[in-house]
Amino acid sequence: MLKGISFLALIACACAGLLVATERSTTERILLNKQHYELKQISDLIGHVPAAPPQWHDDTWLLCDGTTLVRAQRQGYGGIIHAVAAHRQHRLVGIRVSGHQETPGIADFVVLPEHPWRAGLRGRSANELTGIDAVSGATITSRALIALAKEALGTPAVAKACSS
Amino acid sequence: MSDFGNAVLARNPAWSQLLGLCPLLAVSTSVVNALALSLASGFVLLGANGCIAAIRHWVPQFARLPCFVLVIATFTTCAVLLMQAFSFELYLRVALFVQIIVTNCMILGRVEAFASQHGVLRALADAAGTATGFALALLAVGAVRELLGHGTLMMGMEMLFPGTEDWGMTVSDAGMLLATLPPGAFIVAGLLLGLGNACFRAGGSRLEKQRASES
Repeated sequence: MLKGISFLALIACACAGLLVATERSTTERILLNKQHYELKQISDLIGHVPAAPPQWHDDTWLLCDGTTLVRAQRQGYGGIIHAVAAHRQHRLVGIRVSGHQETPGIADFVVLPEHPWRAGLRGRSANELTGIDAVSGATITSRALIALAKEALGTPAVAKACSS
Repeated sequence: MSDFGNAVLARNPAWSQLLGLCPLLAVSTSVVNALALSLASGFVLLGANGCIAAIRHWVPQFARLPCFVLVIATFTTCAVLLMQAFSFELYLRVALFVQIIVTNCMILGRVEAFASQHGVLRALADAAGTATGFALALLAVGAVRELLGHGTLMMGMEMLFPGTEDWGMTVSDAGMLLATLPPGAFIVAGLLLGLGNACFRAGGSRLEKQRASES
C-alpha cells in the first residue's frame, strides 16, 4: 500500500516536471504569438499595419485618421472573450476577437477572417446595435460580441496625440 | 506491425469501437481542424501509451486509473502548450477540444486495455495505429463536411504548415448550412459509418461469428 502510494507520488512528480519544462520552453513563444495575433487582427481592422510599438493608453489607441482602437473583454459562453474594436465618428469600423474559449465549430464565426454576421455590425452606432439576430447555436457568444462593440463605442481615446 | 494494422482497421477507434465520437463530431467542420485534433490526439496517445507501457510493472493495481489519468492529463496539457506555441491561430479554433482529449475514452481505453499489458514497442505501435485510424475517420468526416458546408477543401492549411496557402481549393461558392451544424455531423458520420460497414462486411460478419461463439 505504502509502496503504491509512494509510486503514485513519484509519477506525479515526474509529470509535474515534464509540465514545468514544457511550460518554461513555450511561455515566451505563446506570448509572442498572442501579441502577433492581436497585431494581425488590428491590421485587418484598419487596413494597414500600424506603426510599432503599439501605443496603448488604458486599452485605447488613437490612430491619426481619427480611428480609435479599443481593447475590451467580457464573459462569453465558455470563458472570457478578448476583443479589439475600432470606431470612428461614433460608428463601428469593426470588431475582432483576439482570444476566446467558445465552443469550436459553433462559435467559429468569432475568429473567421470575414464572417457576414460580423460584417453586419460594421458602420453601426451604439444605438443601432439593437435588434440584431444572434448566430444560431451561439446566442450568448453573439450577445457578448454585441455588448463588446457597444462598450468599445462608448470608450473614447485616452491619449490626445495620435500615432499611425 | 500487426498491432498497428489491427488498431487502424479491425479496431478503428471511431468506426468499429465508436469511441471518441464527441471530438469527431464537433471538430470535423474542416480538414484543417480535423488534422489539428488528430495530431494532438496522436501525440497524447503515443506519449501516454509509451509511458504507461514503460512503467506498467510498478503501477499499483489499486491506483491504476489515477496513475493513467495523471499521465494522460500531463501529455494533454503539453499538447495544449505546444499547439499554442507553434500553431496559435489553429489553437484558437479547436482549443476546447484539445483540452478535453484528457477525457477521451479512446485514449484511456488503449492505455488500460493494451499499454498496461504489453511492452513499450508494441504499445507504441498500437498507439500509432489507433491515432492513424482516428485521424482517417476525422479527416473523412472533415473533408465531406467542408466540401458540403463551405464548398472548399483543405482551406487554411497554412495555419498548420506555413507556405501551403495554395493547398486550399474552392469547389463551389454555395455551402449547405446543415453540413456545418452538429446535426450535419451526425448525418455525415452515420453515412460514412454505413459505407464503411458495407465495404468491410466480411470483417463485420467475422466479428459477429466471433461474438456468437464467445457467448
